[in-house]
Order: sequence, then structure tokens, then C-alpha cells
Amino acid sequence: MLNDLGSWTAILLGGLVVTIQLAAISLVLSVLLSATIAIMSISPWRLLRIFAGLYVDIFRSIPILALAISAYFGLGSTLARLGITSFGTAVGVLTLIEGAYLAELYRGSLESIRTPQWDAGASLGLSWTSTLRHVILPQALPPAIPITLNMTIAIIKDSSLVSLIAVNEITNVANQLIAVTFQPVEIYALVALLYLALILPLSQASRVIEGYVARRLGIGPRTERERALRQLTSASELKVG
Amino acid sequence: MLTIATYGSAVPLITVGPGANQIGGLSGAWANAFAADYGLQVKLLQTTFSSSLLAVQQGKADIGAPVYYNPNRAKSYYYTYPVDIESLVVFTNKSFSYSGPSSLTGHKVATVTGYVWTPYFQKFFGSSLQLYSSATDAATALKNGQAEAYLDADINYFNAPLSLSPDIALHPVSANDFGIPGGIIANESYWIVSCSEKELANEMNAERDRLEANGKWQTFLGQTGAPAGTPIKSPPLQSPAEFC
Amino acid sequence: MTILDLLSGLLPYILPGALVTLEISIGAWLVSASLGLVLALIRDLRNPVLQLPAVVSIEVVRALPQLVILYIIFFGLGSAINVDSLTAAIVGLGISDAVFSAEYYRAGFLTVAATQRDAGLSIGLSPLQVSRFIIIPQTIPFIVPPLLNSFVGLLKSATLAAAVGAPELLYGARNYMETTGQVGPPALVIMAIYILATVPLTRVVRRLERRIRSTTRV
Repeated sequence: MLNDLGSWTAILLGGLVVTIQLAAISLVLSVLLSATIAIMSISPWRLLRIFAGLYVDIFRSIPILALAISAYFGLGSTLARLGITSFGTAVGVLTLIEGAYLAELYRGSLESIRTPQWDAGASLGLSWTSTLRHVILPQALPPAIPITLNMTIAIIKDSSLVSLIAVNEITNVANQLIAVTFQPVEIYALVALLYLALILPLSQASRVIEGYVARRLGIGPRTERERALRQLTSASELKVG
Repeated sequence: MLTIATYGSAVPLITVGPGANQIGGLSGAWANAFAADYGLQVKLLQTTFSSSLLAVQQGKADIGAPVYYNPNRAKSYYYTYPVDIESLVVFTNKSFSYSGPSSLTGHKVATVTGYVWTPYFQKFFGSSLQLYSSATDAATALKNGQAEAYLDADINYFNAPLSLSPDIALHPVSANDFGIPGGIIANESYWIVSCSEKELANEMNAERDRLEANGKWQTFLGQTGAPAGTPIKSPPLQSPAEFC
Repeated sequence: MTILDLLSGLLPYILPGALVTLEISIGAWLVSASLGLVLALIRDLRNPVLQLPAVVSIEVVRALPQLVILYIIFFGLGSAINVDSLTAAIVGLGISDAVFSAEYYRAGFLTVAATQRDAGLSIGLSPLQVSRFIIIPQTIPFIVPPLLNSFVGLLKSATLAAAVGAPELLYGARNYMETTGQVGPPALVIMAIYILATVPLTRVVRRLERRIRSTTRV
């Protein structure tokens, strides 16, 4: 029995590597995409704001599984011609959808930096983009770190969905193993342990950094009540689950 | 109530839908006749191939849509009489020059999780094998060009999406291709029940005897929905070696 | 194929699926709203016996993907007791969402000033009574937006239920795709349905949030 658990874990670890690769690449692309969209949504150019708003509204309304299946099987011939595999499709889908949620969160972060900061930049003769670069972004960065860490956790969890478009991440590998061994209880227990091992350290780190940012840098809500109110009134920005 | 675990349509063997509890095709006709005779309502548990196996084992479904036999499975399932007999083939585009298993190495190959042949394919192709949860997904990948070959039973040729594409070629598989022993290249498909439901299997077999006797089985063979002249082979009526 | 042909062919496949999606979302939402409240109360009342198991379960569930939770309930738990697809979907999605609802409830409790709780305790109410009669009623307007938002999230998460055999909306569309070989058009229809269903609800949530933000004295 112990032998079996050992060999199963070895097989599952192969899947976990793919999960990590998938999540890492999607995360990097999401951060780049979301930062761009967030900046667009607070920019003074109306067309950019509208585009950013549309992107966020659309991609936060589509379930990941619906987009993944539609893209992979619907656009399959196009994807094949471009040489995009199921892994690539998975990265694209995760980036687009998680990116939309992250963009909203980044936007909230940017908007929480109050007007006096922008005015200060303007009074120094800085253009909008310069003010953004030198005054606003440095202040928005520290709170963005725990936000991004939390989104990393969400991406890792959502990566399990692409098992249904033949990406060999850990959930898919587990299902393949169960199809041969007929032992779902033990194997899903191992899968759960592996996800926990990956995610719990990240959520702990996120909490520590959030606390550090709040205490040392004095950014963020001051009282518990303020924090609670902020949390309750920004639920629509978060991805639940 | 007769709960049937299904894993998608496989014309002419089995068709699922369009209603949530409608089943057809050759084995569907058998199941419907059985249910009618015993006054049972058919309910479908529509899921993936490997999940349908688990569903029967765990009692979520009374009976599972036809699958092949292997001694390992027989420890967990009791088999009925066979429905048909099918052969493993390699589906490729007509433009692909297939000359045997070695011509597939280095190419994108698709098959389905949970088939009796899958462990052999995994050993032969390693991690480059594309494993889908359903035959339709794997066949779609072939049609789209995301896979260059699709490994499955010959009857899948009559299912969408392959049936809608004129460019698909079938290549037969010989013994020891992909490391597969000759004995499991051609397989009968059987209904399965969990080991605690042998009575149900025996009743299904009795129903099949009746259908053969009153000639309805011949009618079903003709009505299966496959193109005219499609050979469906109905093998002799005997269950395989049962281990539970 | 005209749009009308497509829709009339697609409808018999997705209509029952849409109903199942609603069943799953509403059921899971009820589980999440009630279980979340229970979890929040356990943490709030600091009951020594229940604290540790509650905190540990919340942390564990938060770290697991929803799909894995569904598989664990349907195939893992389902090997011991008989769990059908719909129940597994409702319970699984409900539990995974409850840990987030619990956070919102706790935030809601915190918005009620500590003085309110002290006042209640000083007139002799037990901690549980204080929660029930003083804290919870005042948190209700605050937790409406997050709870509504979690319903929207569950509408989307219901697509996962197909993986454990519940024939919801996406699954119905897939059946159509498999039978007719047409993938693109039905896919667009499905995504349009989700957008039309969730965007208005999200707008409502955002408007409620803005009203609370502007009218609440911090």
C-alpha cells in the first residue's frame, strides 16, 4: 500500500510541475495585461477607458470552462495552424479571464491614491504619464503585492479546470491514474495534499506582506472597521472561489 | 428507475439525447426494451468515460454503457452478453502517410482516458500523448489538426465529428503494434453492472435472449443509424470470465 | 445556418441545462450563505472547542480548487455513501464558497461598533444573544452586495458540475456540439447567455456597494 502511495505521488508530482508552469506563465502575462488595462481605465483618454471597461465586463462574465472549451474545440483548426497547443490555449484563457479580475483590483489600488497626489504632480508641471510613473505607481506598488499573491493562488486553483481540455496538469493526471487503479479516495487525498503544500505557503506569505504594508508603510485602512467596510464594498472586484 | 451511466454518443452503438434521459442506438434499444418490459423509467447519468466506470462501481448508476473487458476490470464489474465487436484502428487525415506505429513517433497523437489500450499507449508515446476525457473531444482534436492521429475503435468513424469529415482514413492495427497483445485489439463491448448487481445483468441477458427469439434484435441492427452497409458484428451470446 | 435555425436546434439541448444551472447556483448559494454564517459565528464567539477545527477547515477548503472539491465529494465520499451529481455539485460548490462568505460575515460583524456589543453584554445578554439580536441585524445591509456577488460567481462555477455528471448549461451545449459537429456558433451563444445574465447582476452589486460606501460613516 505504501509502495503504491509512493509511486502515485511520483506520478502526480509530474502533473504538479505542469500546474506550476501553467500558473507561472499565466501569472506573468496576467500581471502585464492587468497593469496595462488598469492604467488605461484611469487614463484621461475616453477611448482607452471604454475599451478597458468593456474588456473587464466581458471577461469577468464568462466562466473559465466555457471559454476554454469554446476556444480549444471551436477555434481548434486555427489554433492548430498557429501551432498553439492545449497548454498554450490554457495559458491564453487563464490570462484573459484572471487578468480581467486582476485589472479591477489594480484599478481599485490606483484609485485609492487620492487626487492631491495627482494635483501635486500637475503642479510640478509633470504630464499625466510622468505623474503616473513617478508619483502614483510607486505608491500603488506595495499593496499590489498581496493582491497579486492572492491572484496567484486563484490561478493555481483555476488551472485545474484546463484538465478538461487535455492539459496534463495534476488534476488530469490524477483522473488518468484513477481510471486505471479505481482508487479515487487515496488519489484525491494525495492531490489535495499537494495543492495544500503549494498554496498554503503562498496565502501565509500574502497575509504577512499585507500586514507589513499596512503597519510599516501606513497604507490602507486604519481601523479594523475601515478594513471591514472596504472588504464588503469591493466584493464585486474579487473572484470568489 | 433504471439509471444508466453514459459517456457520450457512439453511433451506431449508442446515442445519447437530445433529452436528458433519452438513449438510442443498438445498445440503447436493448436497454429501452428491457426497461419497457420491467416497467422501469430510464434515467441517464451523463459523464465522461472513466467517470462512468466509477459511477457503476460506486452504485451511482445501475448499469454502465458498454465497455470492453479486461481481467482487472472484471474484478470490479460483472459483464452481460456482448452488444457488438469492435476493432482498434488508427484514424488519420488521408494526407498523413501512416506506415505503422513507428510512423507516429514524434507526432501528436490523441486518445481517451480510461480505455483498455490507454496504458499501452502511455508507455509507447510517453508524455506527448494527448489524453482527452471523451471520444468526441479526441476526434475533434484530429479534425482540427491539433492531433495528427486518433486511436480508438472503428465504430467512431460513424460519429460526429469524424462522420462529417471526408478526409479521414482508417488504418488497422496488428498484434503487438504499440505493445498491445493481439488478444485485445478486437474487443466485444458489454454492459457492466457492479458486482453486487449480478441479478440485473442476468435479467438483461434474459431480455437479449427474448429479443433474439422474437426477431427484434435483427430489426434493431437494421435501425442503428449507421450508413447503409455498415457492418455491425453481433458476436455470440456469452459473457466473458467473471471474477466477482 | 441562420440564427433562428441555430437557436431552435440548440434550445432543446440547453433549456434543461439552464434550469439545472439555476438549481445548482441557488442550492449552492443557500449552502454558502448558511454555512458561512455558522463558520463566522464560530470564529466570532471564540468557542474554544470549535475554533481550531473551524479555522483549519476554512484554510484547507480555501486552498483547494473547486473542481477537486467536487471530485472529492462525488467520487471520494461517494464511494462510501451514495451521493448523486446534483447534490455533490450543490454541496461542493456551496462549501467552497462558504469559506469566502464567512469572511464577509466577519467583516460585517466588524462594521458594527464594538460599543454596540459592549452595550448588549452590559445589559446581561449572552454573547450568542448579542450576536443574534444586535450584531447580525445591523450587518444585513452590508453583506447584501457580497452575498449577491457570490451568487453571480456560483452561476459561473456551476459549469464545473458537468465534470461530475450534472447536465448543466455548458454540458447541454456540448451535447449539441457533439451531435451536429458545430462548435463555434453554439459556443458564442453560450458565452452571450452568461454575459447577459451576469453583467446586469454585477452592475446592481456595484451600485449597492457605491451607495454603502458613500452613506456609511467610517
